[in-house]
Amino acid sequence: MTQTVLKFENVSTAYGKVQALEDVSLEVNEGEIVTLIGANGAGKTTLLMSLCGDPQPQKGKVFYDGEEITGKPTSEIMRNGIAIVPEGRRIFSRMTVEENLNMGGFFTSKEDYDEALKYVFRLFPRLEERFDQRGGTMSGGEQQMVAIARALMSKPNLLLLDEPSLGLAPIVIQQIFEVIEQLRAQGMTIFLVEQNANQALKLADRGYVLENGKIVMHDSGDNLLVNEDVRKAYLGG
Amino acid sequence: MIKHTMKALGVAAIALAVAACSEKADEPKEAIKIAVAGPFSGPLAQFGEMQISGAKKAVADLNAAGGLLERPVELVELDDVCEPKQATTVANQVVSAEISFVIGHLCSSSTLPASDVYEDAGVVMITPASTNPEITERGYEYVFRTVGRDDQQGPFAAGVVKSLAPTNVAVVHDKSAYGEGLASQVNENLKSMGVNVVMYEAITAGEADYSPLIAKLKAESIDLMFFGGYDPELAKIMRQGRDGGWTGQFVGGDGVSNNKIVEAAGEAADGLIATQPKSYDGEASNAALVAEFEALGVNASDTFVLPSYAAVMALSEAITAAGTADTAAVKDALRKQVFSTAVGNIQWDGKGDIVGGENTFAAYLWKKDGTAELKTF
Amino acid sequence: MADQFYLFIQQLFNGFTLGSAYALIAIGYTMVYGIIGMINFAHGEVYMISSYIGFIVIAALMMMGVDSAFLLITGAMIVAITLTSVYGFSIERVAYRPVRGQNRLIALISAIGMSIFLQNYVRVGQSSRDIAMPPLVEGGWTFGNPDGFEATLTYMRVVIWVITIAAMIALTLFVTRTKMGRACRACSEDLGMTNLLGINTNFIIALTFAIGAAMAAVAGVLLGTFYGVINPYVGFILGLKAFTAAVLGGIGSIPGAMLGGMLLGIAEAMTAGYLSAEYKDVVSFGLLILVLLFRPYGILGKPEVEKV
Repeated sequence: MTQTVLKFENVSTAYGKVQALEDVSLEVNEGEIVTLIGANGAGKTTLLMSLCGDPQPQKGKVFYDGEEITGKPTSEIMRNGIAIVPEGRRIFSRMTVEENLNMGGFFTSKEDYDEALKYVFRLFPRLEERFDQRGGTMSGGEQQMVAIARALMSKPNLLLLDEPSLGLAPIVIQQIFEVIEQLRAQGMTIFLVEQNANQALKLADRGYVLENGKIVMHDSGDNLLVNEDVRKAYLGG
Repeated sequence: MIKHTMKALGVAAIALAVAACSEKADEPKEAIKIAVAGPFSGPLAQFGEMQISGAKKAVADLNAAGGLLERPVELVELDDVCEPKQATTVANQVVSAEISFVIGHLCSSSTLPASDVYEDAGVVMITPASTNPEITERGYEYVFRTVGRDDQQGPFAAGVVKSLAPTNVAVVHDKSAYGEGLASQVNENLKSMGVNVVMYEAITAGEADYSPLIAKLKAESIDLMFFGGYDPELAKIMRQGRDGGWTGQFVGGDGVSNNKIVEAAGEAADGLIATQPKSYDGEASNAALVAEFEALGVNASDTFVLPSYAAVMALSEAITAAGTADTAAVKDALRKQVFSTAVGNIQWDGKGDIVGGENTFAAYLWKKDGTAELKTF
Repeated sequence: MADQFYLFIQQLFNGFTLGSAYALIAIGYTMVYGIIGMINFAHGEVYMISSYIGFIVIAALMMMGVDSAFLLITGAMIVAITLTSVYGFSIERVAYRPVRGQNRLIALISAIGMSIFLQNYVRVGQSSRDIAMPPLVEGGWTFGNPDGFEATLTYMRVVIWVITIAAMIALTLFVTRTKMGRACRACSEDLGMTNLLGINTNFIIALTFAIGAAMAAVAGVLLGTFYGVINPYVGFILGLKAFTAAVLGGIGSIPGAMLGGMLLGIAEAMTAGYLSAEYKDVVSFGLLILVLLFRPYGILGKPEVEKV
């Protein structure tokens, strides 16, 4: 029986005076890749950040692993097996790769940490080479690797990815998505927010479409790929 | 019928008369208020202490003798923290409270702006401590002092320095009205006496570190430093001076001449020579008064205790002589006679200065046990 | 000729000592700014309070018969560091956290208010007059020309330098090698992201205040006993100068604070020694203006994305 790892129940969030999310309900089950697609400004990042508690939802409830996390402080929410690769990567550019990974694995036990490090080096051999290099001196693609690796250091159950392909060259995007595929193969539950609807829908088991803060469509990845409206709006006809 | 009414009227009339008489007898005479304005908090509060204890005792003595013009005397304490802006605020408070007499202020930098307000409002002000000459050089009629001036203390101090026969002298001040005023007087006089003044510098009061100054003293082979300023600063300078290996002579003015400087500088204060208004506690005529102060826990040899006491007493004599508390009359009365006070005979000239003020200063040698010895040079 | 050299050395000693004070206090300003983008104007008062604590502890220990300078200073420092760290922790909760996220001006006023409150709290409790203490460590080395200029290097100065350097090394190690230290650095770079990694940033911020306070406490005890005289207002001028040093070195940068502090101390000593004490402040602030003209972020500072 698959568990529901993440559940949004009628969540509404305002960002200042703007109603960013309205009555959003969705689910992510164990071992799935679920993707959220939508136009720029549709509210995708707000949805992810609302999950993390920053900003807190005004209405509705968020459940993680069956427990309600709505209203809890961000640092508490993010200590329980959820890890995020945020929009813009947000690695610590003044810190080395090693230190960035340290920060990701802040609460991890020594054994788990060593294991995670080995895993991360297998996924991204480049990072082992550049272990002592400062984040700020790395390319966009390398920084994305650091960001993902950092998230993996805490051995999360649920991995949140916010626009991982943003600003990257097509070859690099390819690599990143291959890594995401590998992670799913390892059994990780992934919630992927993406503007690159094509790649995302190819990869995902299920997808939600967000328009102006509302969920307007929800189907399997394959079905959404061939859906007329989706094709017109997000897949270039 | 008429008899009753007459009786009633009679009783009423008597009652009214009695009431009127007792009212007169019970009505309290309005007190004559004397304000004492000085630093009662802040780094120079020890000077304010001296000022207020002298004034308090004087007011107590006056009231014990039946008051002034058959009215009780009331002392009002106002704190100016030795800051010019605060002093102006205090002066305005005095005027709006309709107080006509002020003993104060203490620091010249406070007395100067405050006296502007007092002169305008016709409030009589007698300062027991401010020595800056300008205070009485503005043609004011309501301003007096019971101490000498820095253009008298200056030459006196310069004379003391010269008699110590130094080779190279440094004159340092703290940029205050008092400190710079005194230092410049000393500097000019030293030069005209042919003493070799090598350094004339200012420091900023409140700083913690004077070691660069000390190094300079050593580099210029200074063997005597005169300081125009207050004891908190000189204490630090002396301490850092001795620590830094400077062995020369420290000389200062009345702003440093109190035992707080020994408390703060410890052994480094030993040997400090300071000029100040003569201390009259040794005079035979003051013996009883000094003993009374001692019983109150006040050291009458502290610089401004007796000048403050004298100021109140002279003022009260003038008010009695004038027969009124009207300040126009009192200010004239203050100039009409010689007052025999705890700080000697005082005659005030047209400006409000003591006639013969140049003889009112003396030099003291401070020792590490906190006592000072009168020294003649 | 040799005299000039010794005079120079002497002013250098003076500058290092003063610079130590500025550097230690500047660290507090820079760390707090680095992490929450706020100038903690109440920081100078930490120096003042720890000087008082130092005096009180030393007086108490002396009364109990302790007379070893080493024990007295160590005792004073332990108590001062502990108390001021607690104080630094709580001042953040009381005066700054409630207004965090609001208009910056409110935080500024809160800080200034805190500073005035503390000055007067101590004034009322202790009296505004200078309190003095006899020197604990006496003696030193002299070298130079007995007939010309003799430079003195008192032992106490050396103690100050050694302890200052030790404190700076300890802090640097903490910040670069420990987990908490890394968390501090992460917070100062991206507070939101650090939160997203599950780290309780409120605690880190409070810890930063506490560390800054501890550094200032070291300065307060050392220099309080060195100068020997304190009053409730000593924190104000030193705090202002230390803040200047922090900006000079690059606000937000810990090495910047150390460098800025030393530079400022030496510049002041040299000016007071070779020009005149009057120009000391003119030169210090002139230096600040010059540096900011050519390097707006300070000597070691880095351009920062605006902190929210």
